[in-house]
Amino acid sequence: MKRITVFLILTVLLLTSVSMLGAQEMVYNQAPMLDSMDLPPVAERLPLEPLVVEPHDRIGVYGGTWHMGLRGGNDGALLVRTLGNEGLVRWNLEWTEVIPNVASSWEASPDGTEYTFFLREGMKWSDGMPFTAHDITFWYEAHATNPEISPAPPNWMVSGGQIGTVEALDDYTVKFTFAAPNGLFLQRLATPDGNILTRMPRHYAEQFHPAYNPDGIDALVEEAGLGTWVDLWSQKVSDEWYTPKPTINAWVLESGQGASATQVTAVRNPYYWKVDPEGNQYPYIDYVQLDAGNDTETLVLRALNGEIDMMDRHIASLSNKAVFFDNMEAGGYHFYEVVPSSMNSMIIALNLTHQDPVMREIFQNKDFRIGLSYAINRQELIDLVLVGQGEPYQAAPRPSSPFYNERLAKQYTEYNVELANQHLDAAGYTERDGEGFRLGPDGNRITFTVDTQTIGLDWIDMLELITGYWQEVGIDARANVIDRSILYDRKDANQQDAVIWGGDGGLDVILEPRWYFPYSGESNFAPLWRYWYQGDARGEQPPEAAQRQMDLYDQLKATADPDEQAALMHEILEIAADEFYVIGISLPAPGYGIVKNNFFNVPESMPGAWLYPNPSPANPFQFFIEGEA
Amino acid sequence: MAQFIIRRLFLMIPTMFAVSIVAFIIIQLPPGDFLTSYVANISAAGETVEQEVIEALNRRFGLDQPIYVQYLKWITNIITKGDFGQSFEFNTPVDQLIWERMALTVVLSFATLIFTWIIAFPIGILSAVRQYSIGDYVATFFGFLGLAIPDFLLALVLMYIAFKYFNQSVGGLFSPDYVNAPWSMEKVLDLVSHLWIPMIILGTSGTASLIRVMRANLLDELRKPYVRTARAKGLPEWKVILKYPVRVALNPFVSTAGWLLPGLVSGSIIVAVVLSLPTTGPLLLRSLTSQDMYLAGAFILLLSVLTLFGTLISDIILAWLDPRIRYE
Repeated sequence: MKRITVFLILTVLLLTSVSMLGAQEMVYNQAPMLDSMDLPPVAERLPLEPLVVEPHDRIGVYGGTWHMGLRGGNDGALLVRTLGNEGLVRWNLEWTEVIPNVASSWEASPDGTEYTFFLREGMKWSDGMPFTAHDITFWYEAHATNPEISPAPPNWMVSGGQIGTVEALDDYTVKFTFAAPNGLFLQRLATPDGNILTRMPRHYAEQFHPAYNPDGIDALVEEAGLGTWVDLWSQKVSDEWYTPKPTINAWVLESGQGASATQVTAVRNPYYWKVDPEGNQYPYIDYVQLDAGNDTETLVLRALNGEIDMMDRHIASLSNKAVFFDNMEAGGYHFYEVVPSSMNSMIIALNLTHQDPVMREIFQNKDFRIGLSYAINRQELIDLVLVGQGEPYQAAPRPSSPFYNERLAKQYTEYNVELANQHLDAAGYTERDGEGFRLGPDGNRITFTVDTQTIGLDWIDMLELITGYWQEVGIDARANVIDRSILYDRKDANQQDAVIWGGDGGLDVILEPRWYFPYSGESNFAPLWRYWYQGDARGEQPPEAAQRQMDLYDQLKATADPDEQAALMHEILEIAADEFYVIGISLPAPGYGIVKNNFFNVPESMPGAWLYPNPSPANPFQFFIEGEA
Repeated sequence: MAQFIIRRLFLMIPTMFAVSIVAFIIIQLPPGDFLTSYVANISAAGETVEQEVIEALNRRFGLDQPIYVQYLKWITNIITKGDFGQSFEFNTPVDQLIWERMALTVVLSFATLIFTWIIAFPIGILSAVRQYSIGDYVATFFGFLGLAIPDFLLALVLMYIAFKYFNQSVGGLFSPDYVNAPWSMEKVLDLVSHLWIPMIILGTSGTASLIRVMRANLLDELRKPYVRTARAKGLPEWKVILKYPVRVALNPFVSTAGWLLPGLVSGSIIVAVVLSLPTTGPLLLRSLTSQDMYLAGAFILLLSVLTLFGTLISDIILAWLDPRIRYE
C-alpha cells in the first residue's frame, strides 16, 4: 500500500516537473564533474523554484577540495557547522533575522500557535527521491514522539505543557499547531536544534524502525551487532555523520565519522536545491575533506602549513593568534573575524541557593557580591592572562547587541579596594579574625571554594589572581580545580559554593538567557530556583524579582511579535541589573579564523556561537577556490 | 613441559576472573558515570539535555542498576556469547572498535620492536666488548640522552622541525589521499613512508635502555673464567662472544619479553595522541576519560590477558634458552 503511494507521488512529481519544463525561463548550469555522470538534466534535479542565493562577493568557479581538520574521530559539531544545518529556516549572516531555507515561505498565526511552512515542489534528496512534507511528518511520528527514541519531546516543540502537532496539508505544505503560543519557534528552528526535521529521509529510514518494518528490524539489529533497534536507529538515521545516507545538504558524506575514523570526506550533492543568480547550481566546491587529529596542536601545525583551507573551530585560540600572524605569508592564508556570542571570558557564580543557610545568607547579600566585584583588578587580569585582549565587563549582552544595557555591563567593574571594603562592611561583616579575614553571621570565618574545570587554563590562572584580590579585602576563597564531570555532579546535587563558567548569551540574548535569570541548568547561581521554574520537585520558590523575570520570559515565549519580545527582554535585563546575580570579568575580544588566499566568498566578519553555528549561516556552499594560494 | 603449560593455563582462569572484577570496580571508581561526562560535554558546547532524556539513557545503558548486576550481565555476555558489549559513546560493538585499530597497532609495535633490536643489540655488544672506547662513549652519551628525553617531547620537536624546515606535516600513518583508500601496493608504500617517524620516536628510549642493559649484562659475563677458557682453547673471537656470553646476557630480555604484549595495546598512548596515530592507545585513553565503561573494560581485560600470555611465553622461551632453568 505504502509503495503504491510513493509510486503515485513519484509519478505525479515526474509529470508536473516535465510539464513545467517548458515554462522554465532560467537556464541552469551544473559543475563539470557531474557532466560525466549518469544523471537527469540539472533543471530536473532542481526544485521548480530553487533557492537563489547571492554569493557573498562574486560568482565563483566550480571545483576543488575544501580541507579542514577534525578533532578526534568524532566531531559532529564541526560537521553540522560546515556541511549540515539545512533546516526549514535559517539565520541571515548578521544574525538578526530568520530567513527562508527549505521552506520557501511560511505563515504564522498572530498568537504564535500555528505555523504553516511551504516547501519547494520538486525538491529532492541526494539519491533523487522527492523531499516532501511527509518526510517531516515522518520525523514527528517515527522520531520525535516515539517514547523509545525520544523519552522527552524536544523542548522547542513543547508549548502549554504539551507537544505540538505536525500535519501535512499536502505534499508541500506542513503545519505545526501548539496548545499555547510558541513565540520562539521560528528562532529555535533556525538553530541546529531545528535541522533534525529535514534529515529523516522516509524512504530510507523506514527500514530501521519497527513500526514501519516490523518483520525485518530484528535481523538488521542483529546484523549490525547492536543491542536494540534504538541503537541502530541512532547509528543509521538520527546520527547525521556516522554513516552515509540520503541528505539535502550541499555535500553528501562518502565516509562518516566514528571512533576509528581518521578522515571524513564528502562530495557534492547533485540534487542540491540552491543556485546562484546566474543559475549555477551550488555548491561551487566539489569535495570536502576533514583529516582527524587527536590533538589540537596537530591541527594548528597543519593550518600553519597551509593544509587547512578555512576554519576557526579548535585552532583559533587567543594564544595561537601571534603564531598564525607570523606565519601568514608562508602559509598563504589570512584572517577573518569571528565575533563570539560569548559576552564574558569568565563568570563567577556564587551559589545563591546554597544548601548551608549561613552561606546562603552571605551570598544572597547583594552588598557582599558588589564588594567582591570591586575588589577584582580586571585590567590586570586582562593584561596578564588574556594577553591584553578584552575590556572589564559584567554578565551582559555584547555592545553590538540590540539588547546592550550599559548599567548591566559596566556596574561595579571598577577596581577599588576602598569601595570593596565599604560594601563588605555594609553587608554586615565588619568583624575580622586574627588573620584579618572577615567573620560571617555565625561568627565563623567566611570561607568558600570556587570550582573550575581542569581544561580551562585561563580560568585557573585568573582564579589564582582573584582569590588573591579577595584576600586583600578579608575574604578567604579557594580555587578548586576539578574534572568537568565532577563539576557537573556537584552542580546537579547543589553542592557547590561557587562555579566558574563562560559567558554564553552575549548575542543570542533571548534564546540563551542563562545568566540573566534562573533559566536553565546552566544558571549556576541558583540551581534550586531554576528547578522551581522548570517545575522540578527539588526546586524552591525564588524571590519576587526572579519570579517577575520568569513571568516576563513566559510572556515573551507566548508572543510571536519580535518588537514585543524585545521590550519584554529589555525589562528582564533591567531586573538582572538590579539583582546583580553573578560577577563577570572581561568582554572577550573578537576571535578569528583563517582562510587561504585562494579561497573566496568568505565574509570578513561573522558571529560565532552554537545557536548560530558558524560558518554555516555564511553559506559554505558559495565558497569557492580559484588559483594558487 | 606440556604439563607445565597446561597447569599454567589452568591457573589463568581464576586470575582472569579476579582481574575482571578489579577492572570493573576501578572503572566505576571515579565519581559520575558515562552520562555525567556526556552531559558535561554537551553542555560545554552550548546545548542542553532534558532530564527525561538522561533518565531514559540511564535505563537504556543499564546504569541505574547496582554495580554487581552490571558486572554479572557484562561477564555473562562475554563468556556465553563472546559479546563485549557496546561502546556508549560510539554506539558500536566494542570488539569491532578494538579490532579496527588492532592491525595498525600491531604493525607499528613490531616495526618499533625490530628497529629497537636491530640497533640496540650490535651497539650494546660493541660497547661492552670495546669498553671505554670512543664508540662506547658515543653510544653511552646517546643512550642516556634517549633515556632522558620523554618520547612525546621528541614527537613535538620532530613535528615542529618537519613543519619549519621541510614544510611537511607530520601525523597519522597515511597521506590524506590514502586514508580511506582500499588496500593496495601504493597504500602499503605510503604506510611505510609514514611509519618511520613514530617508529624512531617510540624506539629511542627502548633502544637506549636496551643498549645499557646489554652492555652491563655482557660486561659481567665477559669477565667470567669460561670466556677465558674458550679463548685459551683457540675459539675465534666472534664465536667466543656470540655463542656463550651474549646468550646468557639475553636472559633479562627474554624474561621481560612478556611485557611487550600488553605494551602493544597500551604503550605509547601520549605519542599516538600527539602524532594522531590511528592506534588503540588514544581510544583507550578516550574511553577512560569519557567513562565509556564497556569499551574501557574490554581494553583492561585484553591487557591483562595479554600480560598473562606474555608472561607464560617468556617463561617458556627462558626455559628453552637456558637449560639451567627448571620447571619446578
